[in-house]
Amino acid sequence: MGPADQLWILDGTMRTAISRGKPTHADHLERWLGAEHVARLSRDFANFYWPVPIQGVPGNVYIMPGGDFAGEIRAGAYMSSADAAALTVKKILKSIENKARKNRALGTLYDLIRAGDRRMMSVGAFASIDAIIAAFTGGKGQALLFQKTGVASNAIGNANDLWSRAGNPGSGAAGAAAPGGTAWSSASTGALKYLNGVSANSNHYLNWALSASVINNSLLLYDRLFSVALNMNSTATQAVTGVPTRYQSTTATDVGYIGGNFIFESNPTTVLANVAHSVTAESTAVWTYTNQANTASKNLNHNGTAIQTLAGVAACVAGGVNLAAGNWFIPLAAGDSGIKALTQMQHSVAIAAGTMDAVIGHPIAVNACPVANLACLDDGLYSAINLSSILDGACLSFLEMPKPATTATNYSGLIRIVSE
Amino acid sequence: MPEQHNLVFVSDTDIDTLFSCARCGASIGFNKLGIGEPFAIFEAGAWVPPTNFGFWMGPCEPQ
Repeated sequence: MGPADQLWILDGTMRTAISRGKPTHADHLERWLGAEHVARLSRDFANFYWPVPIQGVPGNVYIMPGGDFAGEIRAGAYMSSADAAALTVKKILKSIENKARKNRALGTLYDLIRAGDRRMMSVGAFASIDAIIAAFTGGKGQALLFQKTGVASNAIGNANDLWSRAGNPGSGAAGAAAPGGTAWSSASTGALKYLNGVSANSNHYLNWALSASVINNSLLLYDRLFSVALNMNSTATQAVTGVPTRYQSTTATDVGYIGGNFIFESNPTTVLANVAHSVTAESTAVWTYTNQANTASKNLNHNGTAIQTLAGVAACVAGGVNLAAGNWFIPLAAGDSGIKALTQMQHSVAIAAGTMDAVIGHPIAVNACPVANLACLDDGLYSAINLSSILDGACLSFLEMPKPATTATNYSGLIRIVSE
Repeated sequence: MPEQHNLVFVSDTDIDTLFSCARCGASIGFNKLGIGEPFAIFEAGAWVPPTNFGFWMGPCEPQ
């Protein structure tokens, strides 16, 4: 046998000496691993024949044959491993929190780590379904009731705009005359009333129960951004200078991005004279607008070669969308995805009687009723239009999609929205 | 196959003309030439609708 501080291992053919090295600081080790854990290790290795390194202990600590511990421990002076782990996570969270408001991905990671904490990072998204439930049941949800009396369409396939129809909300007014027009908001008569979100633009569409008095009709919930009255008794170009106040950003990731904004014509009050006319046509019915990239002087319904002809509706009824059957919006120029502002209107024909508005809107959700007088639920949580944003001050209104039958249809329902 | 309307002249004003379908009764107006498009044509002493009048009307569905 060698010196007392050496352990001789007999492996049958030769002797190997293992130096114990510096004994491990017992208090530090017990603080780091816990006294019970240290005692158990010592007991388990009392009769073992080879030093074994201990994992998870900073430094170079071995449990030696006989149950003692050797080697330097570089921790345990002030806190246990659990305390150190908690401190490390805390430091990570703090670092993420400081950067999260500038970085959406980090904000989502933060919320995932802190799941269940109602103090969510407002980075433009809910972190989980639980977060949505907590928000809706925690005072951030709203239920909006509505009822609208529809109008018979001119023909099968014609759409109607319910903005100027009676009900709750009540009838909305026509837009002001060109060039100014009217920028609509939630304060406007005819808009579906709701409260702005907890933080800026933080409301989201959640779901929608809709009942229709006639089978197979569909309704579009849209934000009515802007409208301007056309002088129908003229074939001259009519300049427009008024602009919407929402969805004006050219940045695709912004909640208020222009993409998706659409334009249509609707008759607010007085039936048109029974005269055929074109809404868009090469040379005679030329509309200009600014697109989602802020490029001006684009032509509506331009296919890349020429402006295409889109017929209006002779004798378009009050409440009707003045576009040929099957159409509920005027196509943009090929390749464009949104209209920022309208700059010129023109019809091909002078029509002596009747009113007409050019309207810019942004779609929120679509709901269809395959059964009459049955509440049909559209889910905005899992479906394609997933938690669509509803901007502060939005003028929420309804557009009846191209109708399967001309029969006037009455609508009622309940829309739920939730704020982040 | 849906039929086109059989439009017959009804009356006119300073700026437009009115036609009615002899089969289904539907009526439609067309401006006179020079007022805008589409426009009616004065031919052989009478007003006739534009040749592409079907573009602005739905199919003829007699009641």
